Amino acid sequence: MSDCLCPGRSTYAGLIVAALMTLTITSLSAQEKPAPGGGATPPAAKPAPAAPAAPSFKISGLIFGDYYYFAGSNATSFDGQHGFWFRRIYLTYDQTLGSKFSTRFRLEANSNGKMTAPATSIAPFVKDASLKWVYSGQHQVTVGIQPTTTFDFVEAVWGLRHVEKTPVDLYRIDSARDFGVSVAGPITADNTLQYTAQFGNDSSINSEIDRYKSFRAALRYVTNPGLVAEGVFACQSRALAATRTIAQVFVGYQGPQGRAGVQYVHNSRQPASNTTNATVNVSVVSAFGMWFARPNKLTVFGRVDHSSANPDVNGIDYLPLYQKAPFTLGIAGVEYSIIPSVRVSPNVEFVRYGTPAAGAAAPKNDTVMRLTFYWSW
Amino acid sequence: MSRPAHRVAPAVRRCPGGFVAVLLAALLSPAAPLIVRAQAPGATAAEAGSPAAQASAAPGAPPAPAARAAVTAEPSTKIGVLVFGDYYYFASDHAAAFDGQHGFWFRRLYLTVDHAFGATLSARFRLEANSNGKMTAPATSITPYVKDAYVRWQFSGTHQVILGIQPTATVEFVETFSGLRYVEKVAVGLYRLDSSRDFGLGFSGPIDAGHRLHYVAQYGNDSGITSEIDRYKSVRAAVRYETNPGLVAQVAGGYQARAGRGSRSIIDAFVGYHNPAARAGVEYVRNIRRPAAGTADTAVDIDIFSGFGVWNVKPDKVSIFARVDHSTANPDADGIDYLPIDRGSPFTMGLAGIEYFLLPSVRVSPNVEFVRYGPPKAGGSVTPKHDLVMRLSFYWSW
Repeated sequence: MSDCLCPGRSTYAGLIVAALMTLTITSLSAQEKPAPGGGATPPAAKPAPAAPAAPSFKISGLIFGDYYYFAGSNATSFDGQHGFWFRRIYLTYDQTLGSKFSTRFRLEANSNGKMTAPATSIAPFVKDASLKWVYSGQHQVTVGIQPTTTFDFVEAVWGLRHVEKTPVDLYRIDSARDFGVSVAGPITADNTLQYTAQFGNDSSINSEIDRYKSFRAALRYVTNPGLVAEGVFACQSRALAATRTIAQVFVGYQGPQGRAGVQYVHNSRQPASNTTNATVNVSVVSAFGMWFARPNKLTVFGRVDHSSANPDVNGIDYLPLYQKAPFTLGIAGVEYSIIPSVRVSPNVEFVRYGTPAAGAAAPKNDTVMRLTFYWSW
Repeated sequence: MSRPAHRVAPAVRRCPGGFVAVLLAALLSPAAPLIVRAQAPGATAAEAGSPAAQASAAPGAPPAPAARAAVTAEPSTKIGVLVFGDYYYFASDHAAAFDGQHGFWFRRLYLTVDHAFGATLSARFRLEANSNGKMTAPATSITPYVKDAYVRWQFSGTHQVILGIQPTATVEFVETFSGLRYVEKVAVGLYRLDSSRDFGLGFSGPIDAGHRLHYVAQYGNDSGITSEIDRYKSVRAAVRYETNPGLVAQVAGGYQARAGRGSRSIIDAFVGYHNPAARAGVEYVRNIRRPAAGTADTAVDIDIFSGFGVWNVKPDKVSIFARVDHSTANPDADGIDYLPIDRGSPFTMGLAGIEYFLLPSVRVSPNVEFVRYGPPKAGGSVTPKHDLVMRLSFYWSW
């Protein structure tokens, strides 16, 4: 049946098998993200150290949130609001099973990011549940709920997830997680060139309820310090041929004094075949930079994104945007580390809207001032 | 014997404008030690100074005086669990859904991770889960939620600041002192005058060099353990005097802003005495609820007197306890989990029982709770049926 423009089932399997048979790994560790924060742990070119032979486990936590003040918002339920919220709480259990296998189980919980009643308790859900097998050299296969290839690497280079998500995630172009299988590894002997291929439910952290799947792949060049670059393609099949594709190019530089990057994303959304709706194309250009004024102590950062109108952005948690107009989002702030894993960051996010779609009202611009806090262990 | 931790309890609350001033005042107040607690469940209450004494600390023991918690210089992580519940039998209840019911329930399940980053920084993450306490359909699974998530920084001497979801100043100290949370909540928590948790910023520490006098000041969402969805905030503060063995006393207060210039305020005065053989305390609470402007609602004032005593017949083995509360009519009392109380009448609640320790951290307690109602408020016509629930409470922690 051709209600999907993505590769067919057999094509997916072929791609995965081909990747499995052809490449060699770098455990690009789809799961192990560098600690967020200025300067801490930028992505490495070299693979992570080999897992210890003896089984071992680690329990860790990560928490961040804000005291926020919405000085202006296009959404009336946010305008003028202030208070505390947690945007992320992680409780993670990592277990190594000898030198080749490791597993992760992670719960996440978040405050309600919609500012709507009823006020509910902060209930955890499963964010990661995966098994990784380093099956040959440094090539690895991961099965389970795991980070998606689309922005895992970009988020690691950005390194300030606790301040804000990266564009593909923030603007709801793709999910941060999927339940599936992925293969990853190095292409070159020095591990500067890496690949990842991923096949999944396309149901994010939710249970699967349909037959439509996703495929994501990335090719990456990494040096540290030095240049990093990545090209990503993803295809998400939907009912009635409402396929979505994502193409992304990212180029960055990381060094001991700072990091910077630019990114272009194009998201194409085909309409359902039984409608007369037009194809929706969302294009995003993003650039960021940060200066480690005092490494592991003080970082100054800034970022600007520009996006065409995106029908999903009014559903963004903690920062709802207007969905019928192009917009430019700016972020600027300073991060202070009490210790490397305990940080506070005064920052501001502002959104300026362009001319809305015909017939749509001009939205009020958004400004939110935040004192962001972060701790992990 | 492990003693519940108590923490420096605070308590003055008010609304936004004065919040910052209160916090700054706390910050600038005389230096004194603060209790750092990196606590792990099962750890002594004394670790405390830190919130959440109630949890990990084994119930049944009076709080230690502002002892300084030992702090470790090296990072460390501890995991703890605490569970309690009952086999209950509602021999009589004014609420038809409870009358005659019997069965098992968990009133609390805790899973706690405590991490010490070093000597002056620590963090706690705690999940809680509970059986449905309303005896209503649908029967649901026992789902966890975040009860505590905070970081504590001992910023000067023993003065500390806590950021995140943390125990409230109006409940924590009295609950720790009573030491029998697994049998029943203390008055402010039980009668729903204030939440046991809030997401906010709290300061605490000693006021005098002898660490007998302590302060606490908190500013928060006033959303309990739920997400914030409005701009109305709360302030709580407390001043406490503490000796062990000996006298303890606390005055706590809170102010919670509500929409339409409505508000709630709480004043709580508590005096107690403890020594190795026994502990006792008396408490008076006044809760003033001002309605939103422009509504036909009327102001509600609630007054509560509470007194309790615990005799450690055989320390760490057998204790006998009893408590009596008297309250004016409380419009929120019918929403109390596990023990709904009629909302339209003044009432007297009595509680008595015996606690037996299989181990200090494994206990059983046959006990009885009863509620006797007075004449209903104007507009009410029938005095409600009295409540009587017999329970075999169980508790374990590690």
